[in-house]
Amino acid sequence: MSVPYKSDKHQYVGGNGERLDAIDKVTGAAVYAHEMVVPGMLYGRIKVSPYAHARIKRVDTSKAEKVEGVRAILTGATLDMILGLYMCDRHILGRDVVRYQGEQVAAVAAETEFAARRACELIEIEYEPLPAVFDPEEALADDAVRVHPDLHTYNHMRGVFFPQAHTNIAHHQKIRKGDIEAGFAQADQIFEHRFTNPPVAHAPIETHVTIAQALPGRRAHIITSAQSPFTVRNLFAIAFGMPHNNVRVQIPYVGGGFGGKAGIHLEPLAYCLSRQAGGRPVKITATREEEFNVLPSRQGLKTIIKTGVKNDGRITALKVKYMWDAGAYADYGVNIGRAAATSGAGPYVVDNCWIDSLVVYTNKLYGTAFRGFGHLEVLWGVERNLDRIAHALGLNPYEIRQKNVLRTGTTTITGEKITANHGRPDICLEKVAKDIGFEDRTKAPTTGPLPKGKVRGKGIALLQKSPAMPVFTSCSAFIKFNEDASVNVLISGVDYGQGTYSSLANIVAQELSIPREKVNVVYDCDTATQPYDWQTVASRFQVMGGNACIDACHDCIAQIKQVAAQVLRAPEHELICEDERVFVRHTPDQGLSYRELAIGYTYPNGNSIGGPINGRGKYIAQGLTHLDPETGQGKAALDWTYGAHGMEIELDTETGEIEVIKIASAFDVGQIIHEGMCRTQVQGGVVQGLGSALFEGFRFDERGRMLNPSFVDYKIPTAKDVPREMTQHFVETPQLDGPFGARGVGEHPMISIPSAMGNAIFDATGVDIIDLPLSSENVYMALKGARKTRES
Amino acid sequence: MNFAYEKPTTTKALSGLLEQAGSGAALLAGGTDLLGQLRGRLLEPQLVIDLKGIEELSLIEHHEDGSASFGATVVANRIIDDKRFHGPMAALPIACSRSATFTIRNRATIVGNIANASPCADSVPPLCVLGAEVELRAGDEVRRLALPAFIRGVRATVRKKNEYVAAVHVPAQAKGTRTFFRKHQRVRGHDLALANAALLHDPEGKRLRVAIGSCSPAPVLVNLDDMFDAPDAEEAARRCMKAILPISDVRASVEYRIDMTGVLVRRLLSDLQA
Amino acid sequence: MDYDIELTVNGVKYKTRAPASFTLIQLLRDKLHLTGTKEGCGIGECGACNVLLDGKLVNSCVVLGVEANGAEIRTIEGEANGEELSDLQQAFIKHHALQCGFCTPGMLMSARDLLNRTANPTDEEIVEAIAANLCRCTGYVTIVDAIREVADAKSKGGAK
Repeated sequence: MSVPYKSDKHQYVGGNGERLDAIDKVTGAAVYAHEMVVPGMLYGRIKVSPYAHARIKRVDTSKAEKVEGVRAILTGATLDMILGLYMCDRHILGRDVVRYQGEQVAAVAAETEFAARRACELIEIEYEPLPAVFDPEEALADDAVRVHPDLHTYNHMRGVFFPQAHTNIAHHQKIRKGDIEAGFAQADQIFEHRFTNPPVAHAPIETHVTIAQALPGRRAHIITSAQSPFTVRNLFAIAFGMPHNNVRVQIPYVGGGFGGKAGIHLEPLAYCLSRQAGGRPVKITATREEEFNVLPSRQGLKTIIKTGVKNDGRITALKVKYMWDAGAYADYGVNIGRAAATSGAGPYVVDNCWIDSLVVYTNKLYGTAFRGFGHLEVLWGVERNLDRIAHALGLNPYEIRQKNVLRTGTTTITGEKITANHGRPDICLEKVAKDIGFEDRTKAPTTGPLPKGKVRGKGIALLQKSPAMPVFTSCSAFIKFNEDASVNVLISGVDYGQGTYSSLANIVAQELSIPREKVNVVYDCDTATQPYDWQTVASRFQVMGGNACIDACHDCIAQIKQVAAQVLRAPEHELICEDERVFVRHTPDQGLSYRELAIGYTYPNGNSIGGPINGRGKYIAQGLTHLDPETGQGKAALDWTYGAHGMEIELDTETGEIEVIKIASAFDVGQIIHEGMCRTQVQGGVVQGLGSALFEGFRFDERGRMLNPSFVDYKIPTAKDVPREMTQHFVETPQLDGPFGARGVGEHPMISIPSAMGNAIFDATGVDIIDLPLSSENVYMALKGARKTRES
Repeated sequence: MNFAYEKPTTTKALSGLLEQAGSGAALLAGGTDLLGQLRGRLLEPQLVIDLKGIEELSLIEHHEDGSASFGATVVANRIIDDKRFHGPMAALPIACSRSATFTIRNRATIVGNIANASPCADSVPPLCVLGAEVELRAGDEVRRLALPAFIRGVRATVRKKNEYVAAVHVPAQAKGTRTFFRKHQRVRGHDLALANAALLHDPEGKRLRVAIGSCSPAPVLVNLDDMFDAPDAEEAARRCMKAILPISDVRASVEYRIDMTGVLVRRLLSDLQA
Repeated sequence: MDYDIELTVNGVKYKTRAPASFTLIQLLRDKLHLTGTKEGCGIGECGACNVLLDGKLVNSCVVLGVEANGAEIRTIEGEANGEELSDLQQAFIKHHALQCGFCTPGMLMSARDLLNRTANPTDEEIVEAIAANLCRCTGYVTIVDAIREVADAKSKGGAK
């Protein structure tokens, strides 16, 4: 009875297969919020503050009210509503005080875009400019301008986030492991280095678009380009005091998110305009300028790292101060400060670790979730730091990493013990170093004349990330059989391009043993009809959605077997489900097709049993704990995905221009679920990482006004920026609680790309650059400065 | 915003519209610059006059004496595709090919590039060293101006409100003349110039001329004739770096612009020797 | 002021009316309800709005609707032949040359324009042809692969 059965049919996991959304997208048939129109729809436009910090003295909407076609006007004075995912610090429209140039202060809904825009222009607002602070380090000074003087009165998620009264600190995350003083005492040498990251734009090609309608009976209907339908619903319900059932959020195809659409953005404003306009739906489409200037960015970061090391390279102590430039509001910023701190030493064994991760308010565009959730920013510092130390000690950057890297039996800085199935950063590093021939690199000296002309350099960097998510994060899925034994998978994680649905199709088709073409993972997310999922962020959807789908498949199989057992007169444990059939294992001809029982089975005499097969599955993160507020110790990580990059560049010392010759990337993904989706996530993430490395960053003038809110002066990578060669390596150390052993890899490819490049520049020239981006001007100036010092 | 749209089919009709509308009219050639200005409310005309209905303005002519002219609606890609520009006048099509994107160049015109007088205009330095002239017309009145006389400063030209640039005339070049163009950008993809420069080498007249853009309100011309027989890259770079008046802006600092001008000039002289 | 505009899109004649200030993309999307073409920036920097106007690739966001009076336009909706996907569309699917899909219509138009102009494009020409189409998702590698496969097949005399 217990002869193991292994099917060779419908083995899709690890394979390829067409994207489920490809045909819609290549024909132009895919509908995004961008083109959605609903009956009676009005168009909304937003007015923003020209000042970084100012008191609103007077608002006059009388001229705007006279514009033909205007149906609603809102200002902060008329709309007293506060929002916040974790810190309730932002009014939907600036009220009394505005805190960044670009902050929304008024909005109009009208019959046409033109009328709405015209009316916005005619709203008169008088401001009294106030002193402002733009740098997070300056904002920490005792006498710094207070961005939120009433911080101590704000509602916030208590016990998780700790705003510091009478400061600009929205949150202070601490990691305290071991004995930091003893650690430094043990060190042979101590180094202190600084690094900076500018704020960066998500730049999805589809901007934020929302349609919201205030329905009678205090209900809301929202159609939005977003990543997390249930988060939108939840925040709505809380903010507007509605039962969850009264809020319906639908998400069609989404033109990119990268974290910028993870939370709640234009939805409340659109809803309020609709309410004001007598319940007519209101559509707000962010212009590209607004996408850059008004909608939140990736936080900037300033890092101070103090490291104690033995002469052989072993780290004895690590003390880090992360100063996050949260901008004017905390949004996801506090969570990034928290999450990145738990990763804040990199994938290394650090027995004595002290991290202070401070999320600091400034009068600039505020930060939100961004692919990598602080890890690219943190690892810029951590990986550059390690290379600098290696060089100072006369050690090989590869060796110093292998010496300190996390291995089975070691413990992370949050006290998590590494098991044999956590993943292998050491193997990832080995693969990329070999791929780019790291042994054979330039090793430019750090003294004497700088090299001239075009020079080459190689750099390596490690990375790690676990999903930053609440301890209760869960996912659920419904799988319903259709009459022809095809299935619809209903799941409300959003596939906004990362291809998770195509991976889930591999899982569902294999688990149910049906052709992949018969799996329809439904692209319209709808909180009214689909089961709960937390958010589509954090590289956790394939894992949690995969597990939920497997659970739902098991439920389907159980229902199939329950009916089949009766019809075939065999016990359920003797039945096999394979290739759209359920049969008695030892007499395979005795069986039924799925089709025969998909919506109920009918006996020849007409008796019908069973009913529609609808599978239900769920998965909740197992065993996570809160982090100790003082020490940061606990288990916050569902899983860890480790990775590494090796990069070879060619640098023109005359201009500072960099061409990327090769990037080799390796990740321990546990198990590849869909080869193409895995590979293309890496390709896309690496190139997006190159943007952060080479030229991306917001610039502000001395009054805090954004200088580059357009593609003219905020450049993102084009096809010409792709390296001459990119390779991807995948290690598969199974994640025991992942679907088929899989982990996520959505965010990871862009992390540590800038680090590898900074290390390669050092290899090529002997010059250390500590600030991003590595633009041609910044590199040139760094070389010029070094030349002066070294050749004088 | 609401404006009227006219598409005259003769230059006479065009002039009539301009006389009437004056400063209330905007001229539309390729529209790639104009539409950006309309979107940003930098311009609010009552009337937009589309020049693309006038056949005469769409012509490219290569005259027997070796000179060339092209009308106001000639797009950049047509200049690039025209092999006859790839001789002594080569800096012009090269500059065009480095300008904007292929897609934009299917619409953007050289005349528009000049008439908008953005300091970053890529076609301007080559046209300066080539000695090109713009032809301005108002009704039957015609005048020609060399580019440095036409462009006064940032987005400022001497074009009167009732005038339009009908054509650009590039004189015949001396035998053996070669021209070169280089542009420094922030990225490998499409970008405005941080610095751009054109070099002319005329062995017959022993002329060595450089024009530099994006580093001053108007194009800067540098005469290096005195070193024609023995071009000195360092000295040439030094003179050009001194001649420009760059600003620091979101794209680049003064220092980087100056240094990159030097690099461009040195590299142009290398191109010459190659 | 509103203007009568007549144009042919993907072989179908349309008559419509719009203010002079309407761009071509607004005309296509809002008046003709051909929403496959996307607006990513409105200033000709991203290529999402690419269409063919009288055979030339243009950013429809910087062309006025009135300028297209009498013109022949091809948009993404005309790429397939009824139910039959084109060679480029099939190659994009095969190579996963898309993720969020928002840049994809414009990208396909650029690819189609390239193959219209060049029988046997080099890798460099392929990159050049899509260099003005911003994609934030794919990293461009699979897009170049897809176009290369179609170009190779065409140059070997392969059928569509």
